[in-house]
Amino acid sequence: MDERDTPVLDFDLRIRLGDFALDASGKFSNGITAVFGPSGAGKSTLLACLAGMVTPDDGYVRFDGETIFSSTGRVRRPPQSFRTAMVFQDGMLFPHKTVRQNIEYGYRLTPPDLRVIDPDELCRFLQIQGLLNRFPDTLSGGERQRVALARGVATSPRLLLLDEPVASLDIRLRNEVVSYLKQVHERYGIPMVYVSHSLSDVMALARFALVLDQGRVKSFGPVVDLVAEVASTTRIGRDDIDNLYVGTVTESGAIRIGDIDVVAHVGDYQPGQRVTASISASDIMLALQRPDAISARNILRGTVQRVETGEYAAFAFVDAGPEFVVELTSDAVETLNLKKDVDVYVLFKSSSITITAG
Amino acid sequence: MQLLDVTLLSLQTALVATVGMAIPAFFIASYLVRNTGRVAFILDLMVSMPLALPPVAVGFVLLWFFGATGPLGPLSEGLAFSWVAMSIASAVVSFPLVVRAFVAGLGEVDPRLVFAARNLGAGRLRATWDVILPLAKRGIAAGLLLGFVRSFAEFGATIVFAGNIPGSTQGLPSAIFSRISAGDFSEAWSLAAVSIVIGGIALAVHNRLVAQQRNRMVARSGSNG
Repeated sequence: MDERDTPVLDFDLRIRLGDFALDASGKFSNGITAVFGPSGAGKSTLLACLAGMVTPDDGYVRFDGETIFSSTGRVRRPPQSFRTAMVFQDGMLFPHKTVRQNIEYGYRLTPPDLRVIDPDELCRFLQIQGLLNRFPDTLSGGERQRVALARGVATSPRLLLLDEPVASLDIRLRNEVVSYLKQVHERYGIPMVYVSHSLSDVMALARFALVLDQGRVKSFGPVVDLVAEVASTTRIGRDDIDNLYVGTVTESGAIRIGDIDVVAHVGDYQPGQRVTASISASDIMLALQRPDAISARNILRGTVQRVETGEYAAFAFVDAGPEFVVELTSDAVETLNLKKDVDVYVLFKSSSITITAG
Repeated sequence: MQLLDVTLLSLQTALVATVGMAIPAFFIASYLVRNTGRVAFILDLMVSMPLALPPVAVGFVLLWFFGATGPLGPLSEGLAFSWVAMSIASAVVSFPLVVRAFVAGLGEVDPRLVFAARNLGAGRLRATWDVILPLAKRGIAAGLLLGFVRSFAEFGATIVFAGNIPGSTQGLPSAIFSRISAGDFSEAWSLAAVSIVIGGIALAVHNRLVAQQRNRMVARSGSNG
């Protein structure tokens, strides 16, 4: 637990649904906390309990120290009073309402003194102003999820519950929506619980992760700790780990991320435009000396922060302005003698960078 | 004019029965669509019973139920053999059809959409009004029309519970019965023709609503992929 004494979310609950039993507890602080695990682990059931969609058999759920469910105290607050907005995997937008009506629905039901987020500004930020008069069935998957996010955020919730919000999207749109989630968190400071079975999303977004397996908590700790576990899992069947950055297109056609400029194929994106750049951890190389004759357009100086080595892979976390997660082999780690505080060069091709809007 | 009078009485009976059924049928259907336990099983069985009984037997049960020695006897003096009794008999016989149609209509509303409304701050009634009713409106309208059609055609339970008193409890079906019994076939035919036209129109609208609801369903499941 860090930062605050009262956790944003504090729960300890049990529920049995047919053959499946969930027994989970956790204390989440501010920030983005992931609930991670394979499908069938109980992630969505846990979220449904937290949101009040189903009632646990026993236990308690507290938001900001306020009890909303307690089997011993016989508390069972109705879900409309939680002020925790849920975003579903397929959006669950009201099909008979326009995008505008969807977004205004929860906003209007929020007591005026609790409305701290302006829906118009939010729509501009999520770049959905152009969609306001359309109906949900005319939206693309990425648009739909942005609208669903806006609908939840517009209620100025004290917590956002995200139930695999990008799982039904292809990889490009997935990065786009994940990037928006990250930016919404940074801009509005709403704590988030992010349910996912994809380590790539979890690493891009969350600092802490609760790992569920077969209805039980397997671990709870910093997300980076999960990497060691992944390094011990065969590559087959697992997602690539992507590095995700929000930046702006520069006059010279590069992307400025923090203090550094990254060379990429910006295509039709205009100077000054906000974009998300993603690069797979396995598309990045490390070198101890600056290579002078190499085709890779991006050569950045950095310092190794941490190295995780497993049976099948190794990951290095390198601070080179933004942080890069680099996937290597354990041989490479040994040969280069990579460890904390070693200075390295981070190399990647401009074509390895995928750029999406937002 | 007798034809007009019996037609109006039948329309009034069916309309009152339909309006009276709407809210209880909606709540029972809402419960049945969400629950599968023993209570739901028994409730469904009770509501559906009139489908399995001869309408004459339903009328007989009603006569006892609202009669002087029945459970509701003290409260319902003079109720039997009135136009209100006609509406009650029609409603009881039609009720299972309305509930079934409502269950079908409500079953097409994704419960997660209803939960989404609750999650955004809507109470149960508000979510019903804002999400369930608009999305199930065709199914609900179809159920009400079906109830109306069945009520309009109701004969067996009505004649036992409300009688067949000309000018008081004689609607279209019982008027047809009386004309046939009296051998007045031409009058029976004109009354039957009115039944056919009104019943046919209501049924056509009902069928159209059901088809629309089905098409919307197909379209939605297609676009969601």
